[in-house]
Amino acid sequence: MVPSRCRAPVRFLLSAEISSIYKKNERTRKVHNLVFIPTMDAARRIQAPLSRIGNIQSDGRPILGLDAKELLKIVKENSDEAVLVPAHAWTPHFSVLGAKSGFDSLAECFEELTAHIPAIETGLSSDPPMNWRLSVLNEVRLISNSDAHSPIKLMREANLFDTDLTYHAIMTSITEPASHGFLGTLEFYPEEGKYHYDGHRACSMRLAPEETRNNGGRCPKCNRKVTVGVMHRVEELADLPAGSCSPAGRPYQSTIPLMEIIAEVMQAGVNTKKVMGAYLDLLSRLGNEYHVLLEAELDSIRQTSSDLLAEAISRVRSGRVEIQPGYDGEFGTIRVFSKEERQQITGQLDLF
Amino acid sequence: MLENLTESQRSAVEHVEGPLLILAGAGTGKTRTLAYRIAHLIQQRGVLPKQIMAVTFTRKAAAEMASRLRSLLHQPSQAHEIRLGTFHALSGNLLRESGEARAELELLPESDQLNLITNIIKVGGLTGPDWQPLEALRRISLAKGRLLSPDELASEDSLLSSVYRSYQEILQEKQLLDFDDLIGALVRRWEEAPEVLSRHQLMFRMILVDEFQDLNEAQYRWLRLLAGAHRNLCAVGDANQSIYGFRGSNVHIFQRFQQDFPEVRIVKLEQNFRSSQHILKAAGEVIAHNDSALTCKLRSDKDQGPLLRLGTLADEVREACFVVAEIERLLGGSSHYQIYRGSDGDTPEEEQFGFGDFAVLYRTHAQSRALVDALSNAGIPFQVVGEKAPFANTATDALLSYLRLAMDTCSARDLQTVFNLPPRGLGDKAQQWLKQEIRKGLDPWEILRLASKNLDLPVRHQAAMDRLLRMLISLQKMMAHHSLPNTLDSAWEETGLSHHCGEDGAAAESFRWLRLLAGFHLDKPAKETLPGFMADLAQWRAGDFYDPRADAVALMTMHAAKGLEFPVVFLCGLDQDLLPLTLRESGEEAIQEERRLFYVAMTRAQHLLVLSTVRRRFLHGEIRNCKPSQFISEIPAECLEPISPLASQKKKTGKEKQLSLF
Repeated sequence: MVPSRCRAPVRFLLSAEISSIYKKNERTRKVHNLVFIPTMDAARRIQAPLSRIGNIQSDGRPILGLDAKELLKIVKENSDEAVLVPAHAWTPHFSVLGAKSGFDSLAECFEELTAHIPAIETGLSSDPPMNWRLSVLNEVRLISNSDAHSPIKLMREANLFDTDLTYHAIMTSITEPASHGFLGTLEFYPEEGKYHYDGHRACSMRLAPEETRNNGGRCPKCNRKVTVGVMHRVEELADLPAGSCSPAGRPYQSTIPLMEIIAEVMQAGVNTKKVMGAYLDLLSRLGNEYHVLLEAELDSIRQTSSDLLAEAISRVRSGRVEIQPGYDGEFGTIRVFSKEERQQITGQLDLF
Repeated sequence: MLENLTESQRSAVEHVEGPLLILAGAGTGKTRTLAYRIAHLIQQRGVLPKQIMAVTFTRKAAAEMASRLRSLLHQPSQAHEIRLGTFHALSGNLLRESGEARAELELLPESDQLNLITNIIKVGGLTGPDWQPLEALRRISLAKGRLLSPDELASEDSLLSSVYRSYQEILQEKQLLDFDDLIGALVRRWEEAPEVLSRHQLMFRMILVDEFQDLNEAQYRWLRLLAGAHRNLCAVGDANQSIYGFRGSNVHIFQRFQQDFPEVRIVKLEQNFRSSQHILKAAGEVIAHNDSALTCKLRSDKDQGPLLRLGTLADEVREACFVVAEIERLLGGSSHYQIYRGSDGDTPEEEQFGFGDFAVLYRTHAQSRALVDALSNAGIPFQVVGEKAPFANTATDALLSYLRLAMDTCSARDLQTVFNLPPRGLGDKAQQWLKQEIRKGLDPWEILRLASKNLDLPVRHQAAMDRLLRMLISLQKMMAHHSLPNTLDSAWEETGLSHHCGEDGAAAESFRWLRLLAGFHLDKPAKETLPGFMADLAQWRAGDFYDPRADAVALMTMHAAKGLEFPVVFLCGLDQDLLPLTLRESGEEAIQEERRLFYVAMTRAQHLLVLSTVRRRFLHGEIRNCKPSQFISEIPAECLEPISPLASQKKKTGKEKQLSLF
């Protein structure tokens, strides 16, 4: 299934996502954390105490009724080199800074152990500039993982490293502020994420933070409480103006999954055979997805597929896309071309 | 100090001389009142801490009382001078101190108890349900609770009496006591040696006893003797919470106390600080169907709270899914799947919950199966509070046998236990040989020593036993120099038990508990602390174990929930043939005891009570049609909200599919 041009050696880094659901300061907290572990032996050591606290064998992401800080303690006690990173730190329901069941700061969650949190995962609905608006986050690395719970979503976000491919080297580039091994991230456009804006899905109400505030936090249609999204939450906790840069910040590049671009160009659903066929065809001719998205010559894309797709990728590369922000669990919707533009281009050329 | 007590709590605290009966309803702050009373006696009335004896029903309750006292007393260290403990622990101590008994009273471990009785039953050729070993033990225990000797039992039940007699003879021969003997032994000692009794009466000027409704005859006699001279006996209890009839407690004990101590002052604690109004009202109406005297009627200043929710489900699988769905609802979803299913992600209640705020209670352990499955499938952390102590396991039992063997305080059974565990090639033949040797009356060490010279034995058997002997010698050396926790660690490895258990999580878990409990004995070599540790182990009850670090939904029987409280309580299996469950006795007395159990279970809830019953239940190997428990109809309709179980009626499809996050 994987086109030969995309094949390369695969390496694994031991990691797990753990859901902590517990009560702290009278509120229910639900926090997902990633744990990176150096060796199988260390993994076994960490598993031992955790298996006494909950069932860690049942699920890809076990749920423990364990305070996230206690989890950090257990991880660190059993392996110095293991690293705990709060996952998708901003999503409303399951994250350390989430509006619904998170905390107002890393310190509120991890207390005196906060210094052992070297990084947070920005998640799909936030990008580095949003995070740079919190001065406390300027001290941690902002990393991006795919958070894939199905294979097709692997690599939808990624970290770029210039290090040896060893656990130690990779982790050091994250944990050591002075290290230059961590180059930056490949990101979703945050608007595309499911919780970028506020809103109420049942009423199809998408609200900008401003609108939510003006409406007292309630849905204009049904007057129920809206789900507060990541943008809103960032504005709530930010102590720096929009556009602030972190001195320790790393470069990032926003992009859109190639299949979604193809779907937009072909005016077809992402999960259709047609789109999948075109996607695999492109990969087998040009190389892996990130190569196509970021590096491939527009000319060669044009020759292997179409002008429209080459134009679309060019626009994605330079951020000239229009996105209706996601809200309350709905993905954002992307539009690369307006109707007129599409007619203009397709008028000249065949689509595929 | 007394300003934050209610008026009636205060009058209980300030009463000084003479008998006092505190009738304390569920959640009325009785432990608090007891603690304040003790502190008051010490700080305002000049009673010395060591003159106070406080009897609790469990070790956990004793530990809680001690910690309360430490924070109440101006000199916290005084808390340790108070004689505080269970009837069994206190009896053990007083017997030891009173000299005549062996310095180290040795207790027969529960597992050995079972082996012993199984043998007696087998030798006697007895069959039938009464002669299930556990049932026979229960009935012997009941007899001991009534202070009946085998002879005294003979007129009631001659067969049981003869089993009981053999059992006692073997104990005597081995110079062992079982758990129940501790109390009877002290009562007999007091009755036979009045000078010992009056010395103890002088030692303890003030006697307080908690959970009075759970006392059996022996325990009551014990108290009456000890308090007989000065009559400063303060009893706290609630007749409505008497649920241990099957262990020999008697709800009429309150009247008896009144007869024996006619000058008794009675104080009622009726203000409940735990439950919301709907819960109290429902529980109050239910218990009003009982006709017991000397009970409390609870009232509370708390808010109305939500109505009791009642789910009627098709079967036990759907019942379990209903429980899961309710927990998810109250948590506002534990996975994205749940949040998607709920339309708006709003937490429906004002209250915020963690997993530890939920308890799921049932009448019998057999019901836990479906619940455990449903909770595991939903990935919800839970903890079954079992009846078996968590350190008890074949492997840890063997480990303790090794240590006893090394200490030379062993029985032949210890050698049998470890003979081929872990396996060392001493199979059936070798075991048979061992039995013969034991029958000859040789002690374990002699058997092993002689084995190497016994030319009839196969060489490999000789070699295996020689290795065992040398291991015991090395353990013996270790125990002379190393602390108990270190000894346990090394022995777990060196005996090969650790390797033998491999991935067996249950064994590892049991060992972890054993290790945890031994942690207190760090300062002295194992040789000195082992006997005390063994005695402690025999006394720890299953209910005393509850991992506090784990925030998990608690599953337990209604009996095990006594004394606990939770914001949200589920009562499952409210079917007519499950609750009331009247196996051994029938008739109004038995129904009333079950009603008290239901009352106890209901009053565990602080905020919300969720009830469930089913139409069909698979239990004990058969499908039964069920009707709702009669107790449900005793709850006023205006307190109940029937739940349409549609959402949870979908047939369980195993693991719910996990949706991707983005």
